Amino acid sequence: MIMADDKRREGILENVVGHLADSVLALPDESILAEAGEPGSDLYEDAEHVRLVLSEASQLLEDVTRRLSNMGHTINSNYWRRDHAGFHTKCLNCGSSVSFTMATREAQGGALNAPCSASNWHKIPRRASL
Amino acid sequence: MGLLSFIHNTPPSQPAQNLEPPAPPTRSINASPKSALVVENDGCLSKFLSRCLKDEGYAIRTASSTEEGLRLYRDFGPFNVVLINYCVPQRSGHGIDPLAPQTRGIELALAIREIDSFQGIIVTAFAFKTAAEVPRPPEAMHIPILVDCSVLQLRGSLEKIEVDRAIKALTSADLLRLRQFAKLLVRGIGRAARGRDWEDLLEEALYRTLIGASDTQNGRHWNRKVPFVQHLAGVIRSIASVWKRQFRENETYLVSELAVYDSEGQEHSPIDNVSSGCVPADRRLVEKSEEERVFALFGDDAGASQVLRGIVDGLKKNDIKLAYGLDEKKYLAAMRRIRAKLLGRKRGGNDNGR
Repeated sequence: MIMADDKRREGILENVVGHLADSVLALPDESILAEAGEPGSDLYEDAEHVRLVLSEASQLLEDVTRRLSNMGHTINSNYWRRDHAGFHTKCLNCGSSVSFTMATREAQGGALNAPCSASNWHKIPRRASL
Repeated sequence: MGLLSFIHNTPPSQPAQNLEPPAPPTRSINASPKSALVVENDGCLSKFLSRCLKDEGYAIRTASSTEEGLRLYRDFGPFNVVLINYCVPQRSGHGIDPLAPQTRGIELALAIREIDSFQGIIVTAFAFKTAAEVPRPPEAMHIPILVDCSVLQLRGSLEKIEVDRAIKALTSADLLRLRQFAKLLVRGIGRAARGRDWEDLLEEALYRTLIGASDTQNGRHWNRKVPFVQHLAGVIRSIASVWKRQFRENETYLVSELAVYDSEGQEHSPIDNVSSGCVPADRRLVEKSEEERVFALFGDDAGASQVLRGIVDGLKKNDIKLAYGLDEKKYLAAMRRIRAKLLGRKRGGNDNGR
């Protein structure tokens, strides 16, 4: 009985919040616009701020990838490992690592400190070298 | 004549002379929700890319020169995505010297961007090892370059274009709905958020979507049949749940939470403050006090308290309405007040009990 009660209580808040969050998804547009505005703020600006958050997140990964590429590193942009400290990957050629966090939007790691040591032989474009 | 001057000198309704007729689409453009233009002079690569795109649900038009590509774009654009070979020649036909370097792809990409600055474009440069080696002007640096001729890489690039397009298409109501949704979930996980807020939740959801096309372990694939808001909401919910689970598993404490001082300012072993092996006992107290705190917020609001009690008891909307004799209007008003109070906002809390 105690275990069952624990489990029930454990899920109470999640259940309440889940229920409330679902209700937001089901609200018609006019209701969400009436409800979501912060006091004293502009609804359009609020909405565009959310769009900016999404757009910047989309851009961040590309920016990190481009910085690495400009230093000669090669990464598989589809394979970033995630842990509590952020996202991590390694250069496929030299093995140096790079990581970034969404919260600070900062990238760091050996791959960003020095050009790829294993990519010199790729300086000549493949087609030109044929 | 460069492409940029070409587009300025050629009115849209007047096609350039000596151009080949447009290639027929491999599938009806109008019948498909997604369309792509492939500008590739290598027949094998053109077939390969077209097949990859077709597998992803795109209807495709193909061109083998920049002139033809630009004409197709003017006649049928915008497309969901335009794939341009970096080395595509300006004109197709017998006049092309196959050994002469052709690097008109970037010019075409810039010309298309001049027509529609939001057009999603990928430049393929399979002759190069890295994107850094691909010569291009500063204004073209933001155009994604694909140097790896693989389906996975192409899929990742396509995903980014589709996601960016979806973000642009979100309405103000969609955006605010997502914010409210994320705020509520962050509020619900409390300390497990470890200082992260709704923006972090939203950003991580987007990132997982971006890598979801090819990384099923860390990413969350966006099924295009599901509206983007609904997809993001699902990912947000999943991430919030993971954050909470990780917090429980790790029982992580802040340094300030670990340090134990007595009344005389003496620091004691932080081990004394680590949770006991009897986790449910700890948690039961936390949950109980949290539940009491939530109910206390609505002590003077009978309608909200009733709805809250119904939710806590696991009742569905109609059951709550039935159990407490609430009509739709009263139920929705109570829900609005609960959301507003839990999010710490004043608006919406002025109609207590009504």
